[in-house]
Amino acid sequence: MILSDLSKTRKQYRAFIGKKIFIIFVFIFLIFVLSGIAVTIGPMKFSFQDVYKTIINHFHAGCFNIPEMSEAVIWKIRIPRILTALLAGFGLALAGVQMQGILRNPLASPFTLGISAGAGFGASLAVLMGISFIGGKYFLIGNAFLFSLIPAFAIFFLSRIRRISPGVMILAGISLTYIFSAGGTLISYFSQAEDLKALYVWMMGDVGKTTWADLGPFAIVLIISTVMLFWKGWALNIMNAGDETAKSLGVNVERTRIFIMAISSLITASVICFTGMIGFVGLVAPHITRSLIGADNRFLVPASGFFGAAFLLGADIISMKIVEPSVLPVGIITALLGGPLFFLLIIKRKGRQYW
Amino acid sequence: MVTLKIKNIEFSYPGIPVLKDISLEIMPGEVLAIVGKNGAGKSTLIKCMNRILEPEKGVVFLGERDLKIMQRKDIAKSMAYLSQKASYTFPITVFDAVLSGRYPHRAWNSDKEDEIKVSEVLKILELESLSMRYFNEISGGQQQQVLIARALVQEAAIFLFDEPTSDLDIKHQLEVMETVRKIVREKKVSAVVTIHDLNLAARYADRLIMLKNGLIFAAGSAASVLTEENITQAYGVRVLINQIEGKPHIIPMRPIDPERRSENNV
Repeated sequence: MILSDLSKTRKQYRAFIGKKIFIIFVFIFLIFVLSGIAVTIGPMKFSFQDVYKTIINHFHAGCFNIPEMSEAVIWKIRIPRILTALLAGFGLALAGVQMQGILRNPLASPFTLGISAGAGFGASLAVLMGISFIGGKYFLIGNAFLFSLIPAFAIFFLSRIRRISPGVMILAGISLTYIFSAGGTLISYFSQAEDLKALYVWMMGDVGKTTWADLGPFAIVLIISTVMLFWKGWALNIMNAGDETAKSLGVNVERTRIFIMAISSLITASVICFTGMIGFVGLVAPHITRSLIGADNRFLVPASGFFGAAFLLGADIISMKIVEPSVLPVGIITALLGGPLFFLLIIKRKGRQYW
Repeated sequence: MVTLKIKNIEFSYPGIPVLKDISLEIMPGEVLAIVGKNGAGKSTLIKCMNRILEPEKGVVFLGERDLKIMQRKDIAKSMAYLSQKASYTFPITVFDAVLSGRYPHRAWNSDKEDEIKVSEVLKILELESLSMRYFNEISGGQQQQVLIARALVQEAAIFLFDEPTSDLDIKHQLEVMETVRKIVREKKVSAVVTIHDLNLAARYADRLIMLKNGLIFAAGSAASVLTEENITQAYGVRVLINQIEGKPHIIPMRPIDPERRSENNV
């Protein structure tokens, strides 16, 4: 009798967890579907069959008779583009959900905290001073990472010295954003027109400028960061109860917060270096995911990442379709899509409000 | 069974000394109430017991070990802390809130055994029907019971309650204190409770400590601590004291200035 009662409570919980895992698989499935669609889209017109024949032919050479052209476009342009969108979307959403968790602030994201602005400033410093030619792309990432740490830790220490509300935290992020964009403007004022154009294009946020050579290090940074963050999920849940309770349950609150803030900044910096400024994914993806699967970070963290990946890839498909045959920078689409979506979330929120 | 020994601890917030030289010992199987007026240092003291706050001077011994050099997870295996106001920024279920009590026992994730333990405790405390509800949506009394459930799955030997009754109606106040006493008696653990209601303290605590100006002003049984004189000194309130069921029952009469009163007496 008692045993069956026990298993009833646990069964309910298991079902609850099962639903979360199911949704994660739905997101992964969505990623595959969207990738399948995205590979057939682009300024160059290939038929659906030709695209998949090309892909199959890549693995089993000689299966079909494939023009070199389609092999080059699909393998050198489209697939890297899709992978970039997935990695960038995953990274931004992951950084957003982690920052929201450790700061207990639903409005935290790489952009609202000024971390993107810092990374952007660091990267533009590198591009415009010609440093990138000396050290290559990885110097640019390093520079962006270094500067992304300034706002990250400014916010972090501000929240430690003074007990600031979530709203004030965002105001601090906005002021940091202004400081860094003024710095960026200052640099561009003194630079060459050519550099300026390159920087401007870079700033737009685009997933189409990475090659296979870039994807390797990009993926490595993301995978390592992701692994390091995933096993912090339960600790992040405990921190949701407040610092005092978290300490009493054995979480080393300060160390965990610094660790997660640093890793999230690294993710943000690397995404921005390879893609430029892509807004709203880091804010909107965790919110939509949380409304679907709840706030348990052990599931929310991976789910947000997968949703972010699907979201950015979806936005990229739109950016290629909307004014065919031109391709818009995806940053424009995420802002156009994410802005109203966030507005909708604000209007529709009810019951379990958390901000 | 673990004893908690506090020796000469001092603590101050920037510019404001709160605790000056406090020493006390908490024995297994007892309910210890900490009383004193607002700002007397009750909550600060309880947080120093658990290293949520680090005392500037003095030592806290958990059994034989100095708290200062222990890992937080090891402290959490022996001591549970139940905060005054519990709230989650992001909504989580009662089951998950209780499950977090298993955190100190695991490296990074909960397992089947943890879920079974949570289900057991929820059954004992009759909270099963709430297990899938959101913590922030249940009543204050229920929240307090959920925190107790969390402390139970934590399998702690010492429970630190920071004002568990302050937001509750009278029925829930009694229910929470009954649960506290029952757990202490059945599991031979100890509980430290900061509390404003002197009558609840008199009724449920085995021993009381009265704080005044960061020092222990009086300590001992309810009858010896809760005297007219002590309450006047510590709270600045004139009271009448009755005896009900062998315990002192305090009836607050009017606020007075304790310094002026002692002058009058001279």
